[in-house]
Amino acid sequence: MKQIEVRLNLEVVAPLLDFIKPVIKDLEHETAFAPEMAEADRDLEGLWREGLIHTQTEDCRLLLGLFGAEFVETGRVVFQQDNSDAVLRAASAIRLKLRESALASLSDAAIEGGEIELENLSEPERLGFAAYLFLATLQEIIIKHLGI
Amino acid sequence: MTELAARTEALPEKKTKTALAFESTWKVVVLNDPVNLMSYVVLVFKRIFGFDDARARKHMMEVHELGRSVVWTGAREKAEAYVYSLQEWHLSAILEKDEAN
Repeated sequence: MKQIEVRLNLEVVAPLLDFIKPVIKDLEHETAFAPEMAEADRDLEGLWREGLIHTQTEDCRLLLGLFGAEFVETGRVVFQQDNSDAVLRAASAIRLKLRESALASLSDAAIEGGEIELENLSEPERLGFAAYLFLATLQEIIIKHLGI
Repeated sequence: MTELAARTEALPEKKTKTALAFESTWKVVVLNDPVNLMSYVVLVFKRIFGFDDARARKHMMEVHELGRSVVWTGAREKAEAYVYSLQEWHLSAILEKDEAN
């Protein structure tokens, strides 16, 4: 089975993980975005939403699990083909939540265009933005090395 | 004519309506969002629909440039399953009735 090993600086990543933990907690109760449903599906909305929340909760648990004791000791994280989809989805869910919470005051153009002046951001915005970029980088690495 | 006979005559009309509703065509539409990476959207299209790279990229670019792309058309039940799968991957996907069909 294909796998990739990533070595990360614990001092840099630990504060980001601490920052996203409450976001992950929120994702146990609400979807990463408000899913639109067809008119005829209103009756199913509760079940539909519960299913989405269940998947994202499991995905986020798996992601956090990869940054457990071994990571704290060695700074090493291993992504494997059989967990890569869940990690990608979890990263997407967390990024969506960060965008509407910690990064709500920033424009899409500023974020996409890299026009963010870090020194002008508040501490939560700085950590949120760093976590947002960190998760995007993880996604890019996984897609490049473990994608179809 | 008895009351029972009248009910029997009304039944085929209901059946016809039900059959038509199920035979309608539905579109799975993915809407643009400013968060998910282009490479991520391409991967999701490949995973869920089995698209090749060129087709997945074409739909991703439609989403990015036009704000939406119809990624699948067909029976409602399957369309709903696709919308659910796309939403599990956190793409903004909706179901639309194909008025042309």
